[in-house]
Amino acid sequence: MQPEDPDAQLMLAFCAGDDAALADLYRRWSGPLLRYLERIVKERATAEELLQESFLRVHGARDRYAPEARFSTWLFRIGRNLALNELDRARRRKPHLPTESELDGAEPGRPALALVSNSPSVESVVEARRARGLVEAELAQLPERQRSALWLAAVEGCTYAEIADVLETSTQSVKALVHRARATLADRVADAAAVAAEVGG
Amino acid sequence: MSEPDDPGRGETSPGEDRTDASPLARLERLLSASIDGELDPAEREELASLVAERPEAEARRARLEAVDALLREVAGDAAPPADPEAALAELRERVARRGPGVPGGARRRGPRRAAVWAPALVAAAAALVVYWTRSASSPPAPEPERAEGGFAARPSGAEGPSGVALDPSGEGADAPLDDPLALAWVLGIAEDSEATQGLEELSNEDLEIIEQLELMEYLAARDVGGRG
Repeated sequence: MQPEDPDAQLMLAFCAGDDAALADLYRRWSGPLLRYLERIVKERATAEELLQESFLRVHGARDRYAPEARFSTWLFRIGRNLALNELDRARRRKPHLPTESELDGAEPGRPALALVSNSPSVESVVEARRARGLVEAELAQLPERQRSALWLAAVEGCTYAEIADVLETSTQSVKALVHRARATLADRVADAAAVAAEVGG
Repeated sequence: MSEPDDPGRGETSPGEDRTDASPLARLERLLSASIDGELDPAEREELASLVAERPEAEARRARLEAVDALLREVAGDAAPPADPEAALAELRERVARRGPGVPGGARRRGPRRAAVWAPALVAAAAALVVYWTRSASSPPAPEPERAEGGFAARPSGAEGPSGVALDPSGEGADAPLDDPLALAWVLGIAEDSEATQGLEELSNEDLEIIEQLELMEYLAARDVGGRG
């Protein structure tokens, strides 16, 4: 039970018949959920459809909702599972599409761990917009669980326990997923920044 | 869907190793967890000690933090839902169409659809039974549908609607059409199919293909369950 979670309270109000409470939840969480779903399916239109479907599921849970976790955690889990099912279906429709596993296999090995490389800092070399585009592109290359874990931690401010709830794994695993994702992005963006500096210089 | 860092729920994969290969790796992981405020007191102490030994760790921390800052900027740039009020109206309309208390309409059932599609399903099932009985090798088992945020997942694999194995004898020789429970399950699968939720947008041909795929999944699962 999460009595301190105002969103869970809204959901309980909706369960008790207050339709406006669901509208409030939608206004509050459709943005964060949409941008998270976009990270998973990488298509805006599909993400928007999944957003609607997620809230349909929320609506459908009206008679049996029990706030065992934060509402947002529950919502993200619904959305993620729908998104992964959608990716599975897309892959079945187009068997030639690479699986996440194959994509992961194509992932180049991380460079040897070095706390500080000789490359200049991102901020000093790459203009902000370019750096954002770069990190977004690199994020999209990460395995889904790493991508989800880092996004939920860095952007949505979820705790590891909450992320573990969304990903249905342990907090130890989340810790490793977040770390690997963050370190990979740091290295790749720094490497790209170094290349950009060489080309530009 | 399987991926190297996704061996299954609640499991730890090689990508989620709990031990650190080196002190440097340990330092990296502690730095990352410290950014998220996820260190316990002992780890905080350990990190302070490691950072003291390696002054360059602060630069690394800054680089890791820069990633988070960039991600938050990406999120800030992300376009919000185009028109939340219109989307809400659409949501209400879809809820009304699907009926109350039905999660996403995924369990929608109705005599109209059953009446319309039963003949096609029976034909499809008959065709697949032929395929199934002639098939020399077992097809792969379908991947289980994920539960949606705590809702029970649609039963899949070799289980029937109530989670009971359809063919506990392991013989797997009965054609589905000879088995009323199996036929009901076949029809249930078609009705439950999430792929058919966008019914209005799909042509009859699309629906037939989708339902045949669902049937094939069922038969494959039953085949594997029965022979395995």
